[in-house]
Amino acid sequence: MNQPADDRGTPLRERLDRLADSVSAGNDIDGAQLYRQGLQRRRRRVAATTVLVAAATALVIAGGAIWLPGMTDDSGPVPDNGRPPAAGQGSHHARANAQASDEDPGGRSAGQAVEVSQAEAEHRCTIVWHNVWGPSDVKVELSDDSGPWFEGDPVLIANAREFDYSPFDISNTDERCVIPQAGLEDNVDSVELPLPAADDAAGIRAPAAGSSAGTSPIGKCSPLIAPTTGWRRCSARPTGT
Amino acid sequence: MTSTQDEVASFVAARRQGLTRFGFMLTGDPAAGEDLVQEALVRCLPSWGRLDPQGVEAYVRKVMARLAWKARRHPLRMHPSSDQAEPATADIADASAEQTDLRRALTSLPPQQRVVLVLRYWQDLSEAEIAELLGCRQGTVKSRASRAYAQLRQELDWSDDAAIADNPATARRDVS
Repeated sequence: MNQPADDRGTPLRERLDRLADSVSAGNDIDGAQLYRQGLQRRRRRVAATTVLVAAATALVIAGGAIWLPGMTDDSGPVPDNGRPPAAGQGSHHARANAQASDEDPGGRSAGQAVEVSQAEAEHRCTIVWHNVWGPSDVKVELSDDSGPWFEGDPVLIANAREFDYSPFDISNTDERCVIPQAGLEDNVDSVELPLPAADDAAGIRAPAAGSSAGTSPIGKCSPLIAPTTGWRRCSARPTGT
Repeated sequence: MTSTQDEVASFVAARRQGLTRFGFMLTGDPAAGEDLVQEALVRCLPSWGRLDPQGVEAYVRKVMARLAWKARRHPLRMHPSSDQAEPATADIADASAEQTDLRRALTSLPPQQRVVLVLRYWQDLSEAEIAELLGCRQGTVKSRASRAYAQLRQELDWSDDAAIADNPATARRDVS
C-alpha cells in the first residue's frame, strides 16, 4: 500500500510542477530580513502570551479576593465569637467572655455571643448604670454607633459624665459598660446607695425586713452587671424571705 | 549579526525559492506560502543549532507541512489571502489559463486535503510517509487524498484525462 505517488509522467504532477514553477519567490525579502521578521513575530507572540497570562492571573486574584470573603460563614458559632477583639478592648473582651463562660445562668453555651441592637444595649446599660450609681432620668448613650454589639462586650458610654455619681468619686470610674445578657440586668432601684454596712465580717447582710419578692433573683450585687474596672465582684446574697 | 542569524540568512538565501514554492503549494497562495515559510523558520529557530546541517531543509519542510496540516485549527493564521479566487498575475509568472484554474481548484480544497494532495502527488511521498510526517493515521491520508483528487478532477473537468480519471492509484507504479 505504501506505494509512491504517480510517476513523473502523471499529468497531475506535471501540472502541479508547472504551477509551482510559476510562482515567484518573494525576492523582496532576504534571509536576514526574514530572520528578523521571525524574531519580531516570536517576540510579539511571547509578549501577547505574557499579557494574556498576566491578565488571567490578575483576574484570578481579583476573583479570589472578591469571592473568598463571601465564603466566611458567620451564620453559626465560630471560635472566639468569630470577631477579632476591638482596638483597645482586647483585655476587656477576653474578660467579658470569661465572665460569660464562667457564670451563665441563662443556659447559653460558652463562647456563644448574642448580638443585640443599639437600643437594647443602651437600655441594658442604662439599667446597669442606674443600679450601680443610682436612679436618674439620664439614659445611657453609646459612643460608637457603628456596632455590632454583643452580650458580654464592653461598650463606651458617651454621656457617662451626665450621671450623678455622688457620693462617689467619679475620677476612678470607668466609662465602659459590659452589656449584660438578657434577664441578668437588675431591676432599677434594686440597689440602695450608699450600701448599708455589712452585718457580719463576711459582708453578708441580713435580709431586710419586708423586702419584696420582686427583686432580682441574683441579688443586689450581681457580678455580671458591674462595670469592667474599679469594681470588685461580690457574691450573690439571698433576697426576700 | 549572530552566527545563528548568519546560518539562517544563508539557508534562506539558498533555499528560499524551493521553500516558497512548497509553501505556496501547501497553502495555495503565495503570500500565505511566505508566511508559512516564515512561521516554520520561527519554529525552527530555538533548535537551529542542534539541527543537522544536511537535514535542515527537510526539517523546515516537515514543520511547514505540519503547520499547513493544522491550519484547520488556525484558519485565520493560515487562510490564504482574499484574492485567492483571482490570483494576481504579478505573483505568478507566465500564468496560463490551465494554471490559473489549477490554482483556483487547489485553493478551494480544504487545508488538510490540499496538504495531502501536494505531498502525495507532487512530493511523491507514500501514504505511510505522509502519515508519519503529519502524525496521523495512514487511512486518514488515504481518504484525504482520495477526496482531494476527486474534488480537483471535478472542478477541473478532468473526465477526459483517462490516465488519471479512472483510478489514480492504479496508474502508479511501484518503484520499490
